[in-house]
This record gives sequence, C-alpha cells and structure tokens, in this order.
Amino acid sequence: MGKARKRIALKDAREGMVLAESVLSGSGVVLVAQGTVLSRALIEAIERKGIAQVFIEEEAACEWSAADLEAMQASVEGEVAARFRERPSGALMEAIARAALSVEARKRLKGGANR
Amino acid sequence: MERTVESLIARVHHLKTFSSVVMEIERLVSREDASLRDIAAVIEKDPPTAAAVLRLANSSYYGLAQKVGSVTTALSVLGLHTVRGLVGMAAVVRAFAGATFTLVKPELLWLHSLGCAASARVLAGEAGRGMQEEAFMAGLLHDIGLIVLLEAAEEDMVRVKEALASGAFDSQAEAEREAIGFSHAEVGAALASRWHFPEPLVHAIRYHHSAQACEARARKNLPASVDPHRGMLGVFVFIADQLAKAMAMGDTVDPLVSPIPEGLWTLTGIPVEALGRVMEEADELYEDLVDSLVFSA
Repeated sequence: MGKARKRIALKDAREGMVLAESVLSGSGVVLVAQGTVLSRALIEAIERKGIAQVFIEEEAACEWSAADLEAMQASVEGEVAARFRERPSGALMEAIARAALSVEARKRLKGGANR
Repeated sequence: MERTVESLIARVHHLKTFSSVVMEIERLVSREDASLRDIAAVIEKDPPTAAAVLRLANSSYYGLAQKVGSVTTALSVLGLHTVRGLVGMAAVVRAFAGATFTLVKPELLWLHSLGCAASARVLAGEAGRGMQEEAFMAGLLHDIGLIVLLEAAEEDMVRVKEALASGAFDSQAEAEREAIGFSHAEVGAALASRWHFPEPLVHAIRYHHSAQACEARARKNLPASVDPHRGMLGVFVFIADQLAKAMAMGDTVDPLVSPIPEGLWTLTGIPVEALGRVMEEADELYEDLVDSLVFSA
C-alpha cells in the first residue's frame, strides 16, 4: 500500500506535517509543492491565500501482523456478507460484494473505521 | 379513519417549509429566461442554504484565491446544477433535523440518502449520460416519503421492520403496503409531484424499489420533452440505493441489499468490471460530502 493521504482543515495543520498534494492557487499555479514539510510560516502563508483545506500524508497505520490481517479480513468478510439479503450470486452481485469488501478493507487498513 | 397519502403528509408539519426554496429554484431553473441573480435572490431568502452555497464555493475543492462573498458569484463558480443539488441537500438536512422518529436514527437515514446520491452521481457519470446532477438530486430525495411514514405512522413502520427481519417480505414496499396501504416510494412521489418536481424525478422516487417499472420506462422511447433521460434516473437510483447499502452508508428501515436484476444493470452500459472503481469513487465522494457539508452545517 502506498502512503495514505488525508484532507484536513488548515486550522488543524501542524508543523512537521507533509503535503500529500500541492497547494494550488485559484488559477492553478502551484503555491507550495507536494512533499513539502509544513512550517508555521508556511501554514500562515497558505492561510493568507484563503485556502481552508490541505492534503497531508498520513503516518502509515500501525503495523499489521499476518495474524491481525487475517483476523481483519475474516471480520470484514463476515460483516459485508451480512449486508446482503441473499447470498450474492451472479457476476453483478458478486462484483458488488467484492467491491464493498475492498472499500471496507481499505478503511480498516487506514484505521478509519469511524463510519 | 381511512388513511390516505394526503392525510399522512398533512401530519408532517416540518416538511411544509422544506418545499418552498426547492420548489422556487426548480421553477426558476425550468424557465429559460431566469438569471443567476433571480436564483441568487431566492437562495438569499433562506440563510442556511445561502451559507451552504458560500461554504462550498469557498472550499478548497474549488481552490479560489479570492473569497467568494456573494451568492451570485458563488452561483457562477459552482454552476447551477451543483447549486440545485446543494439547495436540495440543505432542505433535506433540515427536514431530517426536525424529525422525531426513533426507529432509525434520523442522521443515519440522512447519510443513507447522501450515500445513494453520491453513488447515483458516480453511476450516471460512468454511464456517460451527462445527468449527474439530476441523479444526485434523485438519490438525495428518493426516501423523502420514508420521513413521512416514520413521522406519521411509526408504530406501523416498527411492524414493517419486524416483518422484514423475520423474512416475511422480500421488499420494504410490499411490507409497507400490507401494514399501511401504500409504500414510502408512493408517498415520496406524491410529495414530489405536489412540489412540482420534474416528472422524471417523481417517477424515479416512485419506482426506486421496482426494477420492472424502471426497466420498462427505460426501454420505452419517451419523447425528450417528457423525459430527456429516458427513464434512466430511476435505474440509477435503484442501483445506487443497493450500492449505498452494500457499503453500509448510514442506515435505513431495510438496510439489506436486494439483488439487482442483470437486465437493469445492462441498461447503464457500464461493464461489471468497472464496479470496483465506481464504488471506490462513490465512497470517496460520500466521505467528502460528509466532511465538508453535513457536519459543518
């Protein structure tokens, strides 16, 4: 998995965070490049440009052991299967179940099972 | 006393205010000669909606260097279609905020509608039919009749939920007809036509649980003056409703995914292999909307 990115309000930006996406002006000019480590002054400068949100890189979620991953996979599978009235059958419903599984697993890996 | 759709709707007072801004905007949009300023004037009369429009225009998504301070400017930045969706959303948020039912948490029901709206929008975009905004709006409003039933007949809806859980019925609409005499889809359509929503939107709300009716309409060659999208709105909402349930976006009286007939899916022209991407995208849009609109409202 690549590095996860997260959109945050600028007021929540802190020194040391890394921009996951360049900050652009209204006309598309790069104001601060992707990969830049934010400093106090930089955050204030972005704020003055009237930009309210930035994308930052998220710390890689805690290390998952093989056993943890397997347990997570099993619990996600069970949870997603329970969302269906009938066991998904046919190419279409199977594809929907698979996609729902991968959306859910991605959220768990990011540690964002808040919704 | 005999219950009718009308008598139930009349009992839900907070929905009366729901309609005025939405209706006025829809009426203006349908007129060729309405200017952005006319439309802005309607929105300005409703401060929460005006605030939502300004907030989105000023969000980083649009990345403007200058602050947008007027609704007219916001309209030109966002585009009319997006603003229509926003107006609908602001109105729906308020309709749910006034709700008193407890069978489903109102905020979760609202998230289900938002999930359906996001999914319908992505599906319409993927199908390349240029009707994303209408699909979004239809997804947002598809369960509007459910608010009426939950507010005006919650005891019956408790029985509906139990009947569904026990497996006595396959579809919520059927269980509702048995318990109440008509389904939330029918009530929603009555409400939508009373508000003079465009006919395709009324149809999509009425038939979002009937794959057969959606398919029949989509296969009928309706003149563009009646339905420019040839019944596809209902098809997208039917599918999007199931996708939102599959991704557990919010909650509803019947949270279980029902099978989507392959014939209905075929009408979208989207290959099954694209579903993974479509659902990822729908989830991303949903999370964005939840973050930037709902909880800052």
